Amino acid sequence: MKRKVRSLLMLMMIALFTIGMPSCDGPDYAAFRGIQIADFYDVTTNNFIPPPASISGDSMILLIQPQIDFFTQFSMKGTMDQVWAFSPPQPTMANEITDIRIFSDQQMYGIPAGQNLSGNLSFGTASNVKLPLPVFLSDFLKKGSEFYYEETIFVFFNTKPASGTYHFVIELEDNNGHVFTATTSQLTWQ
Amino acid sequence: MAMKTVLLIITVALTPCLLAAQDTDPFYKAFQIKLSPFEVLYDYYRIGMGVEKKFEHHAVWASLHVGRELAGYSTSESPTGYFTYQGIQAGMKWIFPDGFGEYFVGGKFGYDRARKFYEDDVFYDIESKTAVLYDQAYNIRKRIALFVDNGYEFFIGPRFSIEVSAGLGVMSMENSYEDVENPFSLNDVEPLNRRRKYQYKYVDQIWRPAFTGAIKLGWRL
Repeated sequence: MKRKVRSLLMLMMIALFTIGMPSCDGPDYAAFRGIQIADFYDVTTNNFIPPPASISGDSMILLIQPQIDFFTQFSMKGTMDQVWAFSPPQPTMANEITDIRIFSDQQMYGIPAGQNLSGNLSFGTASNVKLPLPVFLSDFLKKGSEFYYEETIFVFFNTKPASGTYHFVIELEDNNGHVFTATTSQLTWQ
Repeated sequence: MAMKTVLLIITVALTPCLLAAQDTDPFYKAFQIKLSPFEVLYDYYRIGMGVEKKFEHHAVWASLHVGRELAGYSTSESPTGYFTYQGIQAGMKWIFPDGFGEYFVGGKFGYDRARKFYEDDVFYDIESKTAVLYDQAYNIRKRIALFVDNGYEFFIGPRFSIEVSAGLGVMSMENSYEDVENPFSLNDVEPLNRRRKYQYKYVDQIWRPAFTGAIKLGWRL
């Protein structure tokens, strides 16, 4: 009997050391910390338009990929059904985007160069979702919500502007007053 | 098994010394220099050197401790390895000699300051409820500890001794940061779960229970 118990304990120890304690790793928080990509994207071909971009139609969108930083990585141990390695809890957003400003170096839609165009543009998290900025921001990742990996911002030029060469400056502002800035490459509308 | 073998070898090797120690004068009124190569409480690699003055029924002692990173030394707590450490300890103990050495019980005070380099990490300012992400920064940890400890000092010949001690007490730990490069502050963000492993990330002061354990090598002057 003693030998059986000892064998069983040995087996359990071997299993424990071989498989390890069930655990999952993940960060506590996610935060917007910059702009990773600000580039032109053709929704008809589903491809980025390499610089210097040149386009004749109105199928072009501006794609903004914010830089997300994750922090306070943790390792949670527990029972198998609680914390199996494939389902770590989602990180919580530590800040949120409160404003998106887009400036052009040329007059566009009747708005002088250097002034914010956002009111004349549409925004979405997919190429088939077009929302005015306030509606988009109210639906976008909010502070305290779970981060859900759909942070790419699609900016739609609703109509084709006048022919010419444009440069855009993008500003994302978060709830702490940080302003993240990026400049696009040159775009020529024919 | 390996540990048992080492202990057995040490015991056998020390037995003649321990027996010889019975014939030497007692350590009363002795003045000792003590080297402290190991302590349980301290997570940084460091070494201590101090002095102890023995009287008939009690002893007083004090020691200085310093530490610095070693090449290739790193832990999950010290990922970049770089740190500096300074500490001071002092205590008083009542001694109860027997044939081989002396049992002691007493109090111990300790203060230490560690400065450690971190990269691409975050700290939480608990009071202002702010999280600060940074590229590089130095974490400053200051600790004050009070312990009641007891132990045994083995005499090995007329000069040498080995002291083993353990104790319990309370500790104040204060974390702060300096030389923070590229800080990125996030207001109204608190740690979701305070984890002891990440204590260095929390800028505040806490009191907590603590324990201590040390080995010291003594040299009688």
